[in-house]
Amino acid sequence: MLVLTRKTDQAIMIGDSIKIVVVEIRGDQVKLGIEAPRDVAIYRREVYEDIQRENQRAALKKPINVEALDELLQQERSSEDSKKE
Amino acid sequence: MKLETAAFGLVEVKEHEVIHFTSGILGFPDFRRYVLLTQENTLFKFLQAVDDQELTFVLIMPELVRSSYSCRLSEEHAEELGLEHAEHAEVYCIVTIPDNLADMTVNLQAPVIINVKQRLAKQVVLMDSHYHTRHNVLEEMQQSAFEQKRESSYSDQPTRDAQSGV
Repeated sequence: MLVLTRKTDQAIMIGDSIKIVVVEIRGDQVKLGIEAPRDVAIYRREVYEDIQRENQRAALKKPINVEALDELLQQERSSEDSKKE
Repeated sequence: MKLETAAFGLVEVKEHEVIHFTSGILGFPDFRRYVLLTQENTLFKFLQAVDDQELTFVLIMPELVRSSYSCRLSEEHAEELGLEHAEHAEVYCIVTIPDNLADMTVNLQAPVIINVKQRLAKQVVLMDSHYHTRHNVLEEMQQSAFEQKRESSYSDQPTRDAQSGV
């Protein structure tokens, strides 16, 4: 990992099109400004990792029984309807 | 082209049906081309990668799970998807199906937004903390039904919208 030290208002370039600026430093919090092209996603790392992990889990590993899934939903919906009556 | 899919077996897909993701599904950055598969008798849709027939995601409309679901797109994301009006967008959330089907969960925090007209799509991450990545589908549906019953006895209350962004 490349470690750089920056002061407020100083910036870092990543490649030609990504810029990170130290906007403000207050106590132990750093406010960062990020400029990047649209197709580069920017996320807080822990949020990104959580979504990424869940997407990996969600990607189908084997064929699924769509009918069985719908049956479960239908059961839930019809029990809602009978509660409303 | 023909794809052997996990959801519906062998499927014929036309080029004009292909949806282009502006950036990939998070964790799958190299796959940008998908088709949306569905059939009449199911509430689920399937996001099938065109370039890897083994890559499939199960989708559901979030309001079927949580009736109060709503999200706002940032201007940048709306522009990225060529969306001028909300009606041009379809919103789906990815479902994780474990071995015990009844334990299926849905990721309400990172919906897939599709501009059907322009065949553009993106998975956006909502900043609002009351959505996370693993909502139990059947429990949510029960809870939604309960809340709908309760709210129908109160006057309209404002709902919070989850904003997309970082």
